[in-house]
This record gives sequence, C-alpha cells and structure tokens, in this order.
Amino acid sequence: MSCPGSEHCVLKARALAVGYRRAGTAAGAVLASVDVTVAGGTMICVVGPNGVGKSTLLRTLAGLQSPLAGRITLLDRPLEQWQARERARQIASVLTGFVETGYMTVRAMVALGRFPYAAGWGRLQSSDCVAIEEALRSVGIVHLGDRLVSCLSDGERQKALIARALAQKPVMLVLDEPTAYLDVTGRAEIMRTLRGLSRESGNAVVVSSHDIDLAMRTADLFWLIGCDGRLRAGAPEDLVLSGELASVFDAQGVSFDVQSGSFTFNTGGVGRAAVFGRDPARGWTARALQRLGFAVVDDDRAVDVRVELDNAQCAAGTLTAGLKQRPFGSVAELCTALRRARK
Amino acid sequence: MSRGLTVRFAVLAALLLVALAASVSLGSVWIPLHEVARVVAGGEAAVTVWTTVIRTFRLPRAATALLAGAGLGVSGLLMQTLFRNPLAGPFVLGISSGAGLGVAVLVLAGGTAVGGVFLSIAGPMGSLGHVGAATLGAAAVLSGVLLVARRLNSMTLLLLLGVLFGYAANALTTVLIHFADAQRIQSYLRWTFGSFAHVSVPELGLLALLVGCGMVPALLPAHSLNVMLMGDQYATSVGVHVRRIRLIAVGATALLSGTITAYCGPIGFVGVAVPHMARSMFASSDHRVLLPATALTGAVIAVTADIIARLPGTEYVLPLNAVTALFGAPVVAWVLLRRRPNEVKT
Repeated sequence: MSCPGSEHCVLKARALAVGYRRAGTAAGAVLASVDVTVAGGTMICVVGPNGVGKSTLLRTLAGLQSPLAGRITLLDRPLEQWQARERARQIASVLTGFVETGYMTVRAMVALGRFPYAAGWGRLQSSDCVAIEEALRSVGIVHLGDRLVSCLSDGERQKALIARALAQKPVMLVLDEPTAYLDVTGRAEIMRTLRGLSRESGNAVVVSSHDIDLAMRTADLFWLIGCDGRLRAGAPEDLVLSGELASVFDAQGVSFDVQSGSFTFNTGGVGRAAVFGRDPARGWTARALQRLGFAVVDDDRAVDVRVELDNAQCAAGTLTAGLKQRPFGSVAELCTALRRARK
Repeated sequence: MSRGLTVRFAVLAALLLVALAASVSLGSVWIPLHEVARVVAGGEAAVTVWTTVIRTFRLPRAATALLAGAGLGVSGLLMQTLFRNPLAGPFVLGISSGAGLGVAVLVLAGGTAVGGVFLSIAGPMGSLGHVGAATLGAAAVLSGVLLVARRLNSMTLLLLLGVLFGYAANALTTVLIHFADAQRIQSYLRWTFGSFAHVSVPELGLLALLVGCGMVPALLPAHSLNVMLMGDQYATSVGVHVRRIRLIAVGATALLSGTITAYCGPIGFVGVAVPHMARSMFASSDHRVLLPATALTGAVIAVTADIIARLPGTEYVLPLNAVTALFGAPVVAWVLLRRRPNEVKT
C-alpha cells in the first residue's frame, strides 16, 4: 500500500499488535491489528480515553519496545533491522514522566540528542553545535540555553525536551502527551510548534493528546483508539461527521457535541429552555442555562423557561418562568432569578 | 575544557598533593617534609627508622587511602546515575554485606558448632585471612548481582534484591556474633571499623591493579551515562545500549567496592557523599567531568579522613568509619546547602 498523497512514506505498520509479554502466559495485547502509515510532513494526533494503549503504541512505533505481532518498516526497512544509533537518527521521542537532571543546562540536555552522531567520548563537532542551536531556535528557546533544566517552567521544559529530540535530526518525532500539565496557552503553543515543525521541516509528527479540541485544530490526521482496542485513522472532521469520535468518548454523562465540536455534559434533566436574542449574548446565555441543567431548544413550544435578551452585547433581558416575568441585567442575576422561580 | 574546569581540577589536584604529603608526614611520630621528600625520591632519611616508617607503613597507607577513596567515589557515582537515586552508593548491591559475611564466617565461626559447619562448607577459607574471606564474600555477591542484572529489566528490582540480600547477610552475621566469644567479636568489629593500614606493599600492587581494572570500564561509558540520567527510555531512544552500559557499570562497581572492602573493610559514607560534593563543586551533571572529579574528591576525602583517624601526635587512633561520617557529614551538608541545582547557573 502506498502512502496517500505525494508525501514520502516514513513509517508503516501492518497487522501490528502492541502490549506487554508476560512470562509463562500468552501475550497480553493492548491493541491489535493496527495498520497505519506515517507520511512525512503530516501531524498525527493519537486520541482516545486513558488506558487504551496510546503510549504503548507510540513506544512500539518509536522502537523502544518490541511489537507482539506484525511488522513495522521504517523508510522501507524493517524497524528491528536498524542499528540503535541509526534508528535514533530517524526517530526521536519525547516521553512522559519527570526528568530529574540536576546540574544539566538546557543546551547540555539538547546536546544529548546528538548522541547518535557522536564518536568516542562525545566531544561536540561543529555540525553538532549547529544542530543544537537550530533545535533551540525552532522551538524558540535560544534565550534559555544556559538555564538549568530544573529551573524551567513546565512549558519551557517541554520545549527543551522537544529541542533535544529535534537535535537528533529525525524524520519522525514521537511525543507522548507533551501537553500534559500545561496551561491552555502552553498547550496551544506546544501544538502550534509541532504543527510548524511538520509543515516547515517536513517532519512526521505523531503526538498523543487528551486535548481533543486543540488536537482537532492542529492535526492532519487522527488515530482514534477506542476501548474496543481498534484504531481508526482519518481526518479529524471525518471522524466527527461519521460519529466515531462521539462513540469513542461518549460515556458517563459526557458527550461530544457534533455541532460545537466540543464536549458537553449530558443535560436536560432540569427542564427545557428557549433563548431569544442575538449572539454573542444568546450563545453565552444558552451555555449558562445548559450549565444549570436545562436543555436549550430553539422553539418556545412546551418550554419551562423562556429568556428574551435585549441586545447582543450583554446578557440583560426578561425571564419568563411559568406565569411570572422577571427582568435581569446579567447572567448571574438570571441564575439567581431561575433559582427563585424554581422554589 | 573551559577555564573554570581547569582551575577546579588544579585546585583538587593540589589539595590531594597536600593531603598526601601530610599523610606521610603526620602520625604518631612527625617526620619533616623534606625528609619525606628525600625518602620518596629514593634516598635515606636522617633517622633510619623514618625510612622504614615511610616505606613500610605511611606510603602504602596513603596510597591505599587514595585508591580506596577514588574507587568508592566513582562506584558511588555510577550507582547514583544507574539507579537515578541520590541515596545510592557503592554498597547498594549488597557487596559490603557479602564481604562482611565472608569475614564474619572466618573470624567468628571458629570454635563453635555452627561455625564448624560454616567452615567445613567454606573449606580452605580459613587460611586466606580477612582479605581472602572478604574477597570470596564480595565475589559471591558480585556474580549473583551480575547474573540477576543481566536478566532483569528493572533496576528498582535489582536495588531491592541488593537491600534484601544485605538484610539476609546481616542476619547471618548476627547469628554468628550471637554464638561467638568476646575476643572474636572484637576482632570482627575491628574489621567493620575500616582501616587503610593493613595493606602491605605487595598487596598494594594487587589493590592498585584491581582498582585500575574497575576504573577503566567505569570511565569509558561516560557519555552514555549522561543520557542515562534522563532515564532508560530516553537512553534507548537515542541509541544507548542500556543493558550493556548497566552491566558495565554494575560490574565496575562490584569490582571496585568488592576489592576495596576486602582490603579496607566496609568504608561507609565516602561512596554516597563524594559524588554529591563533586557535582556541587563542579556544578555539573556531565559524567566526563564528574567521573574524574569524583575520583579526585574521593581520594582527597579518604586521605584526609585517614589523617584525622590516626590523631597525629598521639598514640590513639579513631575508627576510620566514625571519622568519615562524623567529619564528613557536616562538610557535605555545607557543600550541598551552599549551592543547589535549583539556582540559576551564571
């Protein structure tokens, strides 16, 4: 099977089963019959609930763990035939878990990425220094080069780890949840950086993430893994429209809303509400009603609550609950009024 | 090599020279430095006894301290990196417990019913002396550790097995002590105090050879050890043969700490503390710097501790292990508190 599009094929896995071999018993596959292709210049997000084997799959594809069955080819050569150092010049990883590095500076840690190219005691050649600076620059942390890794913030440390991986000059980057522990902007920044890397340097980027919303905005391709142990590959939008994304994540009162493309709590237990007005005030008022447990509907037949907004900019208007009408000037006042009306 | 590094290494080397000179000069009798220099250069001292004292006792003793300190420091660093645990030391693998058990069997077992059984199993060990017994004990543990290390994937498990083995060996030693008479217990205890004084000139040659054999494989994988600091997975991902490095490091540590324990007794503290001192003084995590730095620092500490232990000018001596810990702990605490890795390096 050839790679889709004209991009060159970096890695291929066929009939792959990943998991952990247990002594004496049959192999415990976490994920089986995986057929995936990684093309250069694409960003792939591995998404799925906890415990479906995302990390195991990533480690196996990166060559850090042997597959239970099936085969992986890296640049048309079986992965297990690659020498460890040769492989490290093609695939670089950013793994989960805290790295305790003591007195190591950022630049020294990035320099460790040059190990696959090093001779002897690892004296840095000029080509190494160029690669190190380039790696620092491409994630935008040249100014942090002389800082100790232990002094960095979580986001800076992730970038340093990505720079270390880039110093390996790989064709494929494998990252296991690089945005965990980061704040919203930190997460967005990391994903944007990764996306830039796949666009500009033509790297293949395979990254697992729990931030579906952000992943959908950045990834070319989703590898969606469900609790059934199946992997579905496809453009994120296709997976939304086919309902597969929703089916994987639908559980315990949370569901994926195809309209908004985000997760919502299953609501509607309190009653039906209709909101009339113009956006953005209408949208945010509807969200507040959903938070309170209302199902927000479009027509005002058989509703328990009816909200009319005066203008688009602020949530002020009139609340009609049953026979009573109450004015309100903000969402907070609306909420108070609703609570009173229910009593 | 940057200028800061060169200066630091030069200072350490100078400290070592001063310590060595002091070690040969000071003791129950004080020998002037120029006399020491003359004897070291191959001449005779003004007082004939001094020549004998220097050649037979003080020089071998100083050299033993140097080798032991360097070896324990380096093996401690290897273990701390391998286990990624700041509390690890050369003896986490159970080497000293094995050596201790060997000596305990030799010293304590004679004359008791239990000991008779032990000795009949141990065979010709009785004729070997402390060194032979300790070597046998350490070698037994070493081969066990290497056998396990080759099969195990988990270093934590190896660490736990080492600790468990230590408990078992100590339990056996306790049983032996329970059945032994006071004189033998005293003799065993003296061994556990540690000393650099019991290595003769021919033995010193063998000690130097073995420590050298342990040092070379310890220094070779320095670059790989840097990557191992980030964990086994990262090391594998850049192409380090983790198992091979692990085996080399464990083997070197076992050889170094086993040999040194056999000749000098279980010297505590140096192996755990010296790597921290070296890291702190050199503000580095690079093993290409740390390994030689640790060896030098270890040598300085061991030679100095030995000088203090013999209480120069008096006829008394302190147990070496008490000195290393008692005088060393505050020093290390000060070094560590002075500069922490959280601070921004300027």
